[in-house]
Amino acid sequence: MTPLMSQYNAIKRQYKNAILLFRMGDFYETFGDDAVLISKILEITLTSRDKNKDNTALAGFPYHALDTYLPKLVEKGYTIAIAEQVEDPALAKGIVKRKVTRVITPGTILDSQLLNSNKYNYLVALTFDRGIYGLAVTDISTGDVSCTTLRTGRELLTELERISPSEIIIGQNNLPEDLSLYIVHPLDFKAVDKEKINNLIMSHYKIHNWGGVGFQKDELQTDSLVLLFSYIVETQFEIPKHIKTPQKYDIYDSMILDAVTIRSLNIVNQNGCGADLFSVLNKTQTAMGARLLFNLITHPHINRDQIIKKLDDVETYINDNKFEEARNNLKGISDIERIIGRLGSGRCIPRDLLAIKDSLSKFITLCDKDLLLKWKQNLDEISEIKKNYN
Amino acid sequence: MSVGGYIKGGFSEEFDTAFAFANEGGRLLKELEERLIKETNISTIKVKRNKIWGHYVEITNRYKDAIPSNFIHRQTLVNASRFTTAELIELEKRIIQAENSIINLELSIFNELVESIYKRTSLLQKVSIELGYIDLISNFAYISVLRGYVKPEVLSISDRKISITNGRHPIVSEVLKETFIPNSTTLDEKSFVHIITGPNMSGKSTYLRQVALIILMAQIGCFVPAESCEFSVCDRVFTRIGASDDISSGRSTFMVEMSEMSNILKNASRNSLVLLDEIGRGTSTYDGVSLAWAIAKHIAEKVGAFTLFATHYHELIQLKNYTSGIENFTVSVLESDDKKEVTFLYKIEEGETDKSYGVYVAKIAGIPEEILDEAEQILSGFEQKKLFSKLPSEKIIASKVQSVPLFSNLTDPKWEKIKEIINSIQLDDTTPMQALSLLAQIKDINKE
Repeated sequence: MTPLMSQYNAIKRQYKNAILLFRMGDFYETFGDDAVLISKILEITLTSRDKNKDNTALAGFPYHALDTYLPKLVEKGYTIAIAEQVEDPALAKGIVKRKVTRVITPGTILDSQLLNSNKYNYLVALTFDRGIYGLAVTDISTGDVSCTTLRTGRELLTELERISPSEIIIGQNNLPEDLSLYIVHPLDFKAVDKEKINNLIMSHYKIHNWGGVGFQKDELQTDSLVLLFSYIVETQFEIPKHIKTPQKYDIYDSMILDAVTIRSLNIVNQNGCGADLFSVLNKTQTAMGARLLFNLITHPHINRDQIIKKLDDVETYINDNKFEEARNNLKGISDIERIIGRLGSGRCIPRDLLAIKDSLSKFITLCDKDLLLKWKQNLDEISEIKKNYN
Repeated sequence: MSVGGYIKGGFSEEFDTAFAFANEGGRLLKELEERLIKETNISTIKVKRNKIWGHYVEITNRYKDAIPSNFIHRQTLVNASRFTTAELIELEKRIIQAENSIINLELSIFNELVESIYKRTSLLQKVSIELGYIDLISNFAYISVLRGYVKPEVLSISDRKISITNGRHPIVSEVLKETFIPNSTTLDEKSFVHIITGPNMSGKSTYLRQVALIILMAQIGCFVPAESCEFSVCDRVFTRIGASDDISSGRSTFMVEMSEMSNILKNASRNSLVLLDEIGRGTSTYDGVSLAWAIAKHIAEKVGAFTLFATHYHELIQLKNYTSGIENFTVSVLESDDKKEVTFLYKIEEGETDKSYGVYVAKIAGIPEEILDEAEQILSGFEQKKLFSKLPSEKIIASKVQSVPLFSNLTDPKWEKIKEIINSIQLDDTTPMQALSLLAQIKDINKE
């Protein structure tokens, strides 16, 4: 076996469940079963390494086509590991060192071109004990994390319908409920290095124990958080800095809409075609607004005060004729929520910084025109933003 | 990321110096070109650059013989040859160094900037939350003004009321615009179960959905498509609308319908809104009408949820005589004098109807005249002569329903037995076969 193939095999062993894209010069190559698979999905030529000596299947594409091909693989629900050359080939002794620098799974996407800006992209982790489920959920692109306990299988299924996760991690091989509708990855919770993950979590949140963020060690939902974070670490190699404090919630805090009702009332059309309530109501100007509306429309309030507060805010905006002005200033504001996510995981590009600057100056205009609604920070901080970026 | 060019001048002095030198390189190359032209007398000499060869001197074949000996040959083209010189190699080295240092400087400036913004992550996250909320509220305000939505009044749960004046279906009315017929709704303690009869295609389903969508919109804090609206907050909205056949899991329409119904009956509360459309359609008429009756009655007596119950079983209009909280509604229809033409007015009104206008619907769907005539005759046979004695007219079914002990005499021992059986049924674990045998059992008891 050539040194190259033994390097490939060593990396592939660590990413058995992923399609491994192996950087060779200007190409990303795949071998064996991966090659057969991607040649079918991407409709690219399947060939072999060397027609005479080595008949290992091979398929690849030029590096600059990654942005075109990656979405197609991720859409199908595959996990993709990308091994890059991590030293300068000119300086390398022997074969170039390669390392997996990115792992992309359906639930851990950060690239904006792979995401629907109107929707959250959820990753769920489930733990199970004696009929009860712990559920932790994150959208890693925005850094939101929340977590809950579900008392029955039916509650679990209803909640999953509502979250509609792109990927589910389960802490054991099987669960009693049928999750075949979803992309599910088992990750043996017993084998997780809990001490290492716990330490990472503690230092990420700058706390000494789970109590610091309102959780208790070894509870089912805390375990689901540990499971979630261990998967994040496995795919991101760290806990990205923008990951927020986990929020506890109860599924009965908002109105439960089961899949039947969401479908028959045409609240959100999952396949995205035809007029649904969401598209009729969604004339928002920013991705943050669209996602908030989407989240709200699938989780309506049941608390009277929350409803009245929003209705009053809408009324004020109409009566004081503020909404046109607000909408004009919102136009062109970037998806800074997800840009922060890319910043946090070292994937941002210069354009992102410009987008933050432009968006902040629009935010300052909104503030100057007294259009803020919930903002409770003091003005110093806003003027500090002004000073830094204006 | 290694392709530079994104740092503006004036930001960093170090960067500007390096940048100036890289530009200087361009000028030096130009100077070199001019000097070479003078020295060699070859006017078409060009100093160029490409990605493969780097910098080179290009001379067209016309001057092949005039090329100085210190030129080092690199490449031959059809019309020209490319060379380099010791001076050019030295210059190129300096330029590349300068460019590399620019790229590295750019990268480090960029990373510094990222780091500084990064420290403010939590503040930026708060900004993005505020922006999302402003966007949401101004969006609601915008569509409300645009479409004439009104602010609903949120009552407390104890008020137990949903009252909508001239409500419109938010999605359908956006398509139909002015031609959409608005409808009013009042659900309260006096009448919280509405039995809605009326022909197919007359807009019953649209009306049901309209009420639920208006409540949903109100509960996300949006104004609503109506002239006025007040409502008690609903804890859940349940729907059992249309035949969603679950073929993939091998369950029949009726089984799906019943398991959804079972979910509703188990989970609905007094503060829920329940929409039921054509319950029982998936089974035979007798089964269907009996189930529909029993379900509506159970909801009125035990659950107490706000319920809109659209049905083509006209027998159900009798139910209000047995249970309080029920009111009958119908969709108004205009018949022409010769009774051949029918106009659906899409208006929900208190009252009842005993006609389905199915033949009329078949007509506008394009069923041949011949068949329609035949159907018309059979229908009038049913209505007047009770043509088939085995299939009793609807009025007879209604009178039967009234006399069936199941519904009238609650202390009947037979009923008690039946009740016991029904109560012991675990709907989730019952196969259609078992359901049938249970039904047979119940039937036997009734015959005793």
